[in-house]
Amino acid sequence: MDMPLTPSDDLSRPETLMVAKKIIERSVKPITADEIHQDIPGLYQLKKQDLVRLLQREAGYGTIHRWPAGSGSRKERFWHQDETSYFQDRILSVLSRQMLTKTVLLENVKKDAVPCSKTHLTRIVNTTLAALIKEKTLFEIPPWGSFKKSRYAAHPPDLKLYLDKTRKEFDRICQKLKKAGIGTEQVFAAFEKMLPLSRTAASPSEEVDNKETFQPILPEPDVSETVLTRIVKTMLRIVPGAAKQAPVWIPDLRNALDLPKSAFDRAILTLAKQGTVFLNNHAHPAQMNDSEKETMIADGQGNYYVVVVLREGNHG
Amino acid sequence: MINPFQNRIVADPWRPGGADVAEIHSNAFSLCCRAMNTVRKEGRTTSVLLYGETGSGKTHVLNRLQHYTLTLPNLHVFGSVRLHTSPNRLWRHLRTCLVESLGKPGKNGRTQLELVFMRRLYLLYRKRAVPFEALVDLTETIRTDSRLSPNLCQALLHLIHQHHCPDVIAWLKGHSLPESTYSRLQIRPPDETDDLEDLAREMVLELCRLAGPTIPVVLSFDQIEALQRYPKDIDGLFRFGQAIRTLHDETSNLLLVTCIQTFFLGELRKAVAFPDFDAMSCHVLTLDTLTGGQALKLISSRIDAIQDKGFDKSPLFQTLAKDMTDFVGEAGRTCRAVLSRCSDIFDNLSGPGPGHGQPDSEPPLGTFLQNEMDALEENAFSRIGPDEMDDVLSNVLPSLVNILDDRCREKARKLHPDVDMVMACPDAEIGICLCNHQNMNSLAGKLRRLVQNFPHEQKMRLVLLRHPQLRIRPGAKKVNQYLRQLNDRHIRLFTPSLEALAALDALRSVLSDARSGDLTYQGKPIHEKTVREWFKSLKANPAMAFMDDILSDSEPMPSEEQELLQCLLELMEKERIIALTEAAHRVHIEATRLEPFVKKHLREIGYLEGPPAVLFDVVQ
Repeated sequence: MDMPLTPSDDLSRPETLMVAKKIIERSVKPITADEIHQDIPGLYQLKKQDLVRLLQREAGYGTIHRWPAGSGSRKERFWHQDETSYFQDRILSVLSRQMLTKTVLLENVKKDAVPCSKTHLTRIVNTTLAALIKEKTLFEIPPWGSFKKSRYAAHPPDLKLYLDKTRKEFDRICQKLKKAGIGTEQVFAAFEKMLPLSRTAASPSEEVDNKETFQPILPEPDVSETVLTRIVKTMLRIVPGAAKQAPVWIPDLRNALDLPKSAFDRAILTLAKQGTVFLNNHAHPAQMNDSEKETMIADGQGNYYVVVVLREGNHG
Repeated sequence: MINPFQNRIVADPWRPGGADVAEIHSNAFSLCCRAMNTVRKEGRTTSVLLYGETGSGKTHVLNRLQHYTLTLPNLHVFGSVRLHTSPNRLWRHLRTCLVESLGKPGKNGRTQLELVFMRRLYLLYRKRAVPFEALVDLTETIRTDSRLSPNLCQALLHLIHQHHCPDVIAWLKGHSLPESTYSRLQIRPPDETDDLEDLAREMVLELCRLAGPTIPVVLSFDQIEALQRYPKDIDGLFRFGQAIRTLHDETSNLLLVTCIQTFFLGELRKAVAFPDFDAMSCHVLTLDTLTGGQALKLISSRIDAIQDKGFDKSPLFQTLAKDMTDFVGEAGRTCRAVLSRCSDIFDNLSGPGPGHGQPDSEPPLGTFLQNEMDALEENAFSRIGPDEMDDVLSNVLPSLVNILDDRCREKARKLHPDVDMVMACPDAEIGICLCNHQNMNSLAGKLRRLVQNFPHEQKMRLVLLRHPQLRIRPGAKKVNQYLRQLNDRHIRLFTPSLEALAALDALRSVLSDARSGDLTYQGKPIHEKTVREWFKSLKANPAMAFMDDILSDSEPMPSEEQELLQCLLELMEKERIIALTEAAHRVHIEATRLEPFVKKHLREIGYLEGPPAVLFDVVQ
């Protein structure tokens, strides 16, 4: 019988690693090596210290993630998601539903989450907010009215609210000058000259006359790289074959991401436009009821996309 | 000129090779080829699940794969299954389809089955010619090596000797055979108590084992959606999942390729158990929509195939290419959508003029569906023999009864082993027994069990169905005796007309195509619901008339009429053709009474009005 050239190493047992990874994947929170060890069936068991080494090695490769031991009795844990992206997801998820101050955001993120020290979590929230605001995934909503502190949201501030007072003042002045024979257009032109910025949009007269349109036209916000990357990562996580063009059911992806509908739909369409993914639509959209349609993505021409597919070799 | 874009649907993978653009869906094709290599090199069964939009080219990929297997140096077998069948007959359907595929020509014009058997013989004997005397021993070796039944080996020996080939093929397909055929083939008939689904499963597995470890068998499954008898029906999909898992776990040389429409993914996952889904989806891939470049290549390949040498192809290509830029866009389009668009443009360009056909304006949807049905009926009329009738009825009757009243469904649980289907309607339950046995002993056995075991107090109404070409001879004493006893209990034997069978088969095809996205009107798939509503709105159709016959609770035939009919049938069997007056004399009845009686039984007795009026035997 041939002798193996290298001594057998428990760490080279791929079946044990596969089982351990499945346990980690299924777990709803980070778990300790002890817990993983207990769940591994006898056939695939390793000595505990070997398992710890195996898990640490894999964490080094980045195929699983290590959660450092915390204060008190909190031991080192392992999970399919790293600490920062886990809390980043929670921040996005919380802010996609409501606008919050940093303090309330911190409380919401912490509530029912995997335990984490307050200092550490504050650091994550601060860095995440800074990064996501910079890339326009999140937005700072400056103090306004009774809100004395800045708040944070997944959409830009509604400028109409901030300009409302000014608008009323402008109307009042126009009214006053009208008696002196000075028209609204002249007032606006003078006011515009006083502003350091120049307008290139439609003529003021059209807008001033139409109260409804006299509000800043906000462009559709761009979808941030973070959201797009997060979508791709989630696709790969929820459908293991997604990297090789396995289809991802759009309602499943929507559920896994917890983004606002409009943001999610826009992000998927952006990915399709970039060529990162392609979409398949429903052959008989009329057969879906309204709630089913709501979970899909409309193309605006009566079609509904039901499946998103990562193009092979096009997802980093 | 014939529109080069009019062929937009690849109905099955056996279509002869034509214009093809290798670049389109090359990843799906390569995946199947890699999986085929895995089967051959690693000696294990694997699977590919192909998703795609309606008209994306799934069946085309199978078609390409089928042609590819013929070009390979090593023998590969290709089989295809379109799943327009009943969940209760899934294995029987797989068996029939596999045998039909094995009967298709492989390399050198020989059938795939012959090639497989000859390859196995060659591997044992290692010479190109095997002497007949060695054949039996070698077959026995194959039998023990591959755990084959003596019956299958006997059938193979017949085939290799070119003896009784149609009967052997019928046996392989699981058709009912008369006892004399079993004796001639020296094959043991199935036991009365054998479950036909179990027998079919065993035959499928045996045929896969026959191919042995060195011959990969590609088994493709298309039109999975057609397993749904009515909206939200999951039974068929669940059983299909189980069947795939059995094939996956109990064989070592199969590549199982399953094709489904992407939008059906949600329903498939709900219906199929997890382990079965895993067995079905070792590899998964979604077919891409066509990019602009690919669309142009597809168009170019169709234009290149135009035979007319005087036709200037360049302007046509330029026009279509210009249109495609906007039409395909960033999202891409399916192959069928591109071809439909090109077809419309071609028709518009052709216009009315010498040498050009006037573009046909598409008829209204109802007319279109009626034309489809008519064409399918025409085709089915002579094709639906006794062996096909069971499959057709098992598949279409549950759908039809549900179309007529959407509260009616096929019951999942069988109440009696000899009752093949039970339709549960709000006011009644109707049990259907298919009695297309060629073997009178088997038929007598089935009827005896119904007489003895089917409870009198059972609320279900029972109907026996038999193909019009299968007459029950007066000499079949036991069968006739049991039929009389059942008739006394209001259990009637129905013989559908050939028109009704053709209409039922046509309806089955149209529904299956609609469920699978292969029925298109104005370039868009027609939903099954549309077909159902259209069919329901029809005033007259042989399929509906047949269903009305089954559902109506008519009085059984009185015993004196039964006796008269029996006497007449015996007479007709003897005389074949006889004047009405002579027949009346022979059966001791006045001619004036016999004439209306015969007119009531035209399915059993032929009648020519005359004068003189003549009776004749309707069964050849």
